[in-house]
Amino acid sequence: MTTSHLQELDNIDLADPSVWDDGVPYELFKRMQREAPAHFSPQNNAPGEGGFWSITRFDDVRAVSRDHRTFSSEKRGIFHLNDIAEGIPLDLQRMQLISMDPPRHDRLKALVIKEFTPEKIAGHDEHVKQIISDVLDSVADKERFDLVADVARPIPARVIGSLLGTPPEDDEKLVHWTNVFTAFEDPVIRAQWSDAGAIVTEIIEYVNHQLAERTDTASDSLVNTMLTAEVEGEKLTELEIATFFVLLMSAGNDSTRATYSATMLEILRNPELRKQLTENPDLIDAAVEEGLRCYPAFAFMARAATKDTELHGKTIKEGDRLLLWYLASNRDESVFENPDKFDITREGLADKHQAFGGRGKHFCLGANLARLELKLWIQQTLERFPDLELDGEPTRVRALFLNQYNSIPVRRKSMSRLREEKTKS
Amino acid sequence: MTATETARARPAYREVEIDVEVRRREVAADGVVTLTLADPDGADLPDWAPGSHIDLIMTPSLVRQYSLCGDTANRSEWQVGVLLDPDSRGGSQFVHDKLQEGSTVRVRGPRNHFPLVSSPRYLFIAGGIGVTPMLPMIGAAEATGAEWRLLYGGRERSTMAFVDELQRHGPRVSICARDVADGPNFRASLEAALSDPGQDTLVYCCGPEGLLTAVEAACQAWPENSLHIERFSAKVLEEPADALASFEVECQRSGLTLTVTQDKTIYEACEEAGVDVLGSCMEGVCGTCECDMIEGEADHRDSVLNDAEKEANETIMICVSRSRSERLVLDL
Repeated sequence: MTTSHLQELDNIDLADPSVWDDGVPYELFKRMQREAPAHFSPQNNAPGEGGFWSITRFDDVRAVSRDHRTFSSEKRGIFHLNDIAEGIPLDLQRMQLISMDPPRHDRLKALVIKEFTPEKIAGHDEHVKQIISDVLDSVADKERFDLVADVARPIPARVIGSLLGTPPEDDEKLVHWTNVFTAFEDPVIRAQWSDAGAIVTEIIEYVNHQLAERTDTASDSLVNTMLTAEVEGEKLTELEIATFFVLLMSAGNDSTRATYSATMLEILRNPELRKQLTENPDLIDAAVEEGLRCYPAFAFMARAATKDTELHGKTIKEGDRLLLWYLASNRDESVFENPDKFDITREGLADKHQAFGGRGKHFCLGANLARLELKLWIQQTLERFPDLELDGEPTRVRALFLNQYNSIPVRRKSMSRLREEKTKS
Repeated sequence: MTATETARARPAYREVEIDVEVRRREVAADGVVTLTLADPDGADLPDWAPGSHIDLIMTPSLVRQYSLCGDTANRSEWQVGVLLDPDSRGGSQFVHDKLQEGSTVRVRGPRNHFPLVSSPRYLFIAGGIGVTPMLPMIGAAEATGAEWRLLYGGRERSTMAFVDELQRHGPRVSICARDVADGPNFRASLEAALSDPGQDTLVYCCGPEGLLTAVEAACQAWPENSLHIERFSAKVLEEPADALASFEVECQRSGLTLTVTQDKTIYEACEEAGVDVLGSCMEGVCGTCECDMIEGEADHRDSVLNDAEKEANETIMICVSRSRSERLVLDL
């Protein structure tokens, strides 16, 4: 374990997995915010990358996010590695709009953003409710289940699958593919595939097959939108459509799953909060926002400097990578009072936290959808399973990029009582 | 009625924003009308709980909140009660002049800052048009079999809406009109009702500031969280004095010049003209729609830019911000 308060900040490498042994190093982030707001980690486990600067203060995350001319998403992608999952190089990552700069980023985002406006998303209300209800039905007769594997995985998978136009039987495959792109550092998850390049090929073939199936039929799925879209008079290539698909698939799966799991865990551990939300479901809106603030799905997004620039007395050289740590900025003491407290009474929270990014062109495309899903989902979970309780220690995904649980074992108290009574009689 | 909320205390989830039709417009009392709103195609409206309000979006800069006062079980219609303030230049005048049966209005919501927490006993206190949220609350209390009372005060009996409907509940309801000499006195009734903290009783109060302050003071001795209030006042977000009714936006890269009238945003005007624009939250929060400004002075209404950035006038969030100069030149 790293006793961060005893170590010199200069010697700390945030890429070192041992720094994360006890979970997110919040205290370390607080020290960085106070003492080293532009902190350098050498990234010793990937020496070729040249290390990264950690940006942890709320205002700095915001300023860097908004200045896409000085801090590029395209130059070195949004991960902390040029080549992810040993087979997905930067060139391929850069075909996704999340790893592009304006103006190309804007043109591609414009193709789909109209499907994610508050108005459009509100129209999915009934459909999302149904998906949640179906998945909760599937665990309703179990005394014990896993909140991540059995509930948190299938729900966003089906929601984004239905928007993409993929059939339910492929949901698990999409979840698996998502892991390749985001959870590739976790040793347990990494063992599930050997060749990331082969998976990319598999996805391209899958998307092509999907497109071929629906070319002749009118369909309002996102895949179809991409197929017919033109950017500056040119249709997207097969590879561009496939990478676009991967982005929507992975963003839709990972994000909502992570924040739901962590927020539910908070609720299970906090009886007072649970009572408030059960008695007054209108407060769930606020709980969703506080869940987003305390438990953002992605630990950071990266940028790279397009020119030499000064930040808090440090020189960031052209090409240097910066990680914008939402895990830290969302708990910046100068912005949020008692930042580690889960407090649903904070004013103006929805407009403030950086779970969807630090503002600007790259602000999360799916924010409105995520909010709808989380609200309905937490509401239904509390309604359906008022007797849910923790049944063991949750485990986290071991990947720098993801702030996510792998497993949260739970059980239904009333069902165990029922079973005991049956055994007695 | 107009429920003020601090502009920053918005709830999380973005509610629906839809055009609804005014199905009925009925006079509920002197100077008070009830509007019955429905989807033009008869589709169900989102469900809501007692205490909820909706925004009526009259123009992009003229938005007013009204409590829903109809039946929560009726998914096809929403009702709001509106006080027509003769001194108002804004919201209620618009409702009075423009919202006739058959007209269409854009609404956003519902949201709830005044939720009814379950309790065996309620004391409802309403001043004037503040009675509107109490109607569905009374319905909910009746449905759960809770005990309840309503103290409803107003200046003149003829201006107090829904009195007949409420009097059906008999002695549970006290109507206190100042011009009715032999009726109950509002102040005395309040003092009597609040003098003793009721057991397991929640107090819900909506009305003018003076009433709220008095009730807050009287409830000091009550258990914590007994009192729930909703403030309303006639003044919310008036147009700034120097706001322009319409202005021109030159989209330099597209080579188009558009007129942005009061009823639309820069974003909408661009979209209609086929200029490529990006937008996500549509309320000046996320920063997706930020554009570089080449010329002109913006009227910044977003919560993305800080004061210095607003002052610098180099960029603008086109989903909500407008113009202080006759012409804005944008890099679009």
